[in-house]
Amino acid sequence: MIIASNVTKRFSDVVALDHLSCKIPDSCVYGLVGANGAGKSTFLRLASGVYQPDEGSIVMDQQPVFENVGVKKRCVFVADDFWALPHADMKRMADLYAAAYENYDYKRFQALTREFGLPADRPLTSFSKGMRRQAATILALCTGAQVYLFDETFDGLDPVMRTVVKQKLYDEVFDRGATVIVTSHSLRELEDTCDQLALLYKGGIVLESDVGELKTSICKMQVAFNGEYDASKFEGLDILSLHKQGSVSTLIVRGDKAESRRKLEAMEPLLLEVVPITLEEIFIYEMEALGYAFRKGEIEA
Amino acid sequence: MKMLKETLRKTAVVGIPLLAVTLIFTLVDGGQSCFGEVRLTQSLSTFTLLPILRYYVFAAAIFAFYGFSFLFTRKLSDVYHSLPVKRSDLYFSVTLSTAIWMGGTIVLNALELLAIYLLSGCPFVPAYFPLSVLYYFVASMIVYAASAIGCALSGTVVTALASAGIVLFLPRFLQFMLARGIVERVTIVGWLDFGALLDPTTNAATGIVAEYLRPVYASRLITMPHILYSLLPMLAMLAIGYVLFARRPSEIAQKNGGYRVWTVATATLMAFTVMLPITMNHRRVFSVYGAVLMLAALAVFFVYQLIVSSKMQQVLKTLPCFLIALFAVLGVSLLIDSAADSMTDTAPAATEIESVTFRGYDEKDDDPVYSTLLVCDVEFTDDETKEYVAQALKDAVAALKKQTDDYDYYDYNYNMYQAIEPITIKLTNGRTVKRTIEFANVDELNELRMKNEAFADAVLSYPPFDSVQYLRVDKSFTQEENEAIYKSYVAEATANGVTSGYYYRSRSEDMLPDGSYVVQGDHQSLTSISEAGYIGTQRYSDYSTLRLETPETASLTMRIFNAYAAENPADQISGVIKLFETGETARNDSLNLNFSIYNYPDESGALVQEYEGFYLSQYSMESETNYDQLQREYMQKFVDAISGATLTDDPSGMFIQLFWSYYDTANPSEDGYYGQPLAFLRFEDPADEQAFLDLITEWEAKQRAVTY
Repeated sequence: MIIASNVTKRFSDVVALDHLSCKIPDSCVYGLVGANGAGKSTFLRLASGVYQPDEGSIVMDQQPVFENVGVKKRCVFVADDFWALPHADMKRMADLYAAAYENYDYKRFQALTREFGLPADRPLTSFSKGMRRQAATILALCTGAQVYLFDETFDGLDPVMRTVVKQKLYDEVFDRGATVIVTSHSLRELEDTCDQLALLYKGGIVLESDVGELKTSICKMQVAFNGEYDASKFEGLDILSLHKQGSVSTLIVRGDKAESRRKLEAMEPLLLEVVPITLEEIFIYEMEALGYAFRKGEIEA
Repeated sequence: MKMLKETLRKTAVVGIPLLAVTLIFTLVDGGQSCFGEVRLTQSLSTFTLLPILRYYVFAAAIFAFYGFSFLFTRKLSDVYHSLPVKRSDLYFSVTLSTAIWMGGTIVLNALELLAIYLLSGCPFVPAYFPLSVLYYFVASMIVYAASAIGCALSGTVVTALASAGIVLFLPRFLQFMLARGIVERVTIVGWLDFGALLDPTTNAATGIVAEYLRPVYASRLITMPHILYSLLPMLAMLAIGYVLFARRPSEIAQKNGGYRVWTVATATLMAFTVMLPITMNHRRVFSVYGAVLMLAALAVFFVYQLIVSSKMQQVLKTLPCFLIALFAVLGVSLLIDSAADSMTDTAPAATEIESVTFRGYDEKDDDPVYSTLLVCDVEFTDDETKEYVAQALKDAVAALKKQTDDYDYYDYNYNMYQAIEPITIKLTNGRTVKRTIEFANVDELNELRMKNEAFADAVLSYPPFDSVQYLRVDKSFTQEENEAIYKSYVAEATANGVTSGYYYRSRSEDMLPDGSYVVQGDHQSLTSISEAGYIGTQRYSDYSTLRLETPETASLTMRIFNAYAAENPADQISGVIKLFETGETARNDSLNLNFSIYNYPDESGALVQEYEGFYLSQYSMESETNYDQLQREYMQKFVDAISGATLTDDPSGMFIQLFWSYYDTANPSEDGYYGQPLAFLRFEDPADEQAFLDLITEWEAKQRAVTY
């Protein structure tokens, strides 16, 4: 388990992370969403031991990460823009990783490069952005790490390759019990991937939740009644948001969907319809409930 | 270990080309030195042994910057710092791989040159090889350590370079400027009169730079004390580099600002460095020179910070730091003034002197004469010498104090009797004073010094034969012949109390007819003996003039020369002259004919060595000038005159040394040398000798009368 406690990181006058706390359980895919500058990359660099926190601590299995080789051997960081040694090909980079990760799996490296169709002996500088990300993912997967830290790795991959990469990560989680932490500025990118999602905003996690639970605990319904009515009509329901337009109201209701529907049906509405809700909407409504004022699209860069 | 192998592999991109380039250079340079004709006479110090390594040591900076290149790009820095490798392992993997590449290259170059020396039979000092390897390695690692500190302190290559430059050079540059300032002000203090702290050659890496500025240090640069002296800063700098690297926040990668405080400090130190030359003479602060330096320093201060931070407002706020640099420079100047005054005022009385040592007139040379190696250890404790030296020092100080301004330097009044020598004075209070002062009369000085038995022995000593590596009298002689002459000379000179070098022989003002001075005995010399070798790690190189004062050796030498000469050289020369007369020679062919007549009575009756020379070519044959016509006529007369002389090995009475060369373009010489062996001739018939003397008189009279 990775535990961040009151982590603060400053760059000159800029506070990148401000007393951030979170717990990332083992064997899950943990998504970090936030706009540019929210602190996602900084968090990953702290979690991988690249940076040292100015305040607070970040521990992996109860041990600090920074300058702790034992802990760092169990995690691998893949930056948003993969860098390679000058003129290096994938084999050369595999050697670099192998120098640091004693259990580096060369057989798997060969198998994965074949599977991804990447030329392992071609200079990485000749690779496209997407190919470089695939290469970085392959190189990381062969380290045998328990924790993968991916910084916006899915961005730049085509849909087919994105699916393949995601599947590889799932395999790591299911087969080896690995933990994957992945960041993105796009919630849509992560909503079908992660077990847990956290929203980073201005250096702090403003919302952290299990995705499955989030999706089943909130529903969106449209109802219409004869005559005038107001919010008091929906007493007994945990309403996160209500938008009334004429006789039609759009409700965001927290709680069991069937139970909420049953309660509304009991009010004999002219219209009752459960409408699909996106994860982004759920985030926005939850945030509104917490006092943050987001508009649709704002939590994406 | 794995990271070391990985870093070695990474730095191989730099290491292999540099290794190849240095090996090729050493092969070419060493080959030229050892297989070329000049090889035997070349001056050799440890510093001149592997010239490419003087430049190569600074390649350690390339290894540092390449090895730590990941610190200057955020992405690279992230990758490296995310790897499960301790910072200490990262630092030491770069350090060790640099040490392996640098050390390996240095060792391989040394081994390659050693092989060349052994194959060619070129003389060398074996100890120079391990000394060179150690010295260049220590120098390399100092350069590396300074670069590593620069990299650890900075986020970009520009700031790292500036930082590394300051760390490497500023302390030594300051030291150099302190010494320079004192030497400028106190001209009786030489560079080698300073202690280790002000000696610019002591630090291995910067000593190389100092040598470029002052080539006199070459022989003193690569020594074990300097190597040991440099080890400490090397280790300290490596340790500082490690501490800074371990504490370096990885987020400063690619940030020009890096540590803001260090950026301002770097700019201030750079400005200080640029202004330091003002301290050579603090009055120059108020001159154009001072103004230019200050403006340059201000420009450096601003431009550097603007490149690094790009914020004018921020830079302007740091202006007080520039003033700090300026005041620091003035402080250094005052410090130099104070030290210079103290040194100028040091003129101990004879009673305060415990002993005096003359370190040798040529102590700065790469290869001093053998006697210098002995003389420098002789201590004079007698009152006469102490008084003489005390007075000489007082005179020098008085002359120095007469300076009216900074441009009126202590004026050495050069004449044939004047000598400038480095001395070491040990005072009764335990202090040691080193000065380089003028002695008005070297004959007087030598006479005084020769009273000291140890000194006289040293001056009259010859190198032990087993230490001699190179010995030559003439290129055509065999080694056995050279050795025979040398051994004969040493035995005879030792028996006769003859010193080989010119320096300790008395000057004789009126020895030559033209009034020019000559060292006693040099007015008649046959040839010279060159020998070089080493004692311990110190090379020596002696050049002994073979004079008539060692007649047995002169006779032996004449005999050996004559063995190589033609029985009757006059016939050969006449044959060549005929070729010119009949036009059978090429346009560029030439004939040089020289006579040295020994024991020739000059106008005053003194026996001297008289020279007569002739030159003939197609151009001079066709020339209608009076002189060329006269030369053609008298050349043949001289040749005809010596046809009656026979080869001789008797150096008494009048005899002739004949040297001639025929430059024949149709038959080029393999080594470019066209000279014929020397021949020593004598007239058996006194009438022939008188005729020859008359011919000389006639020829000289004609020359004086000729119009050109």
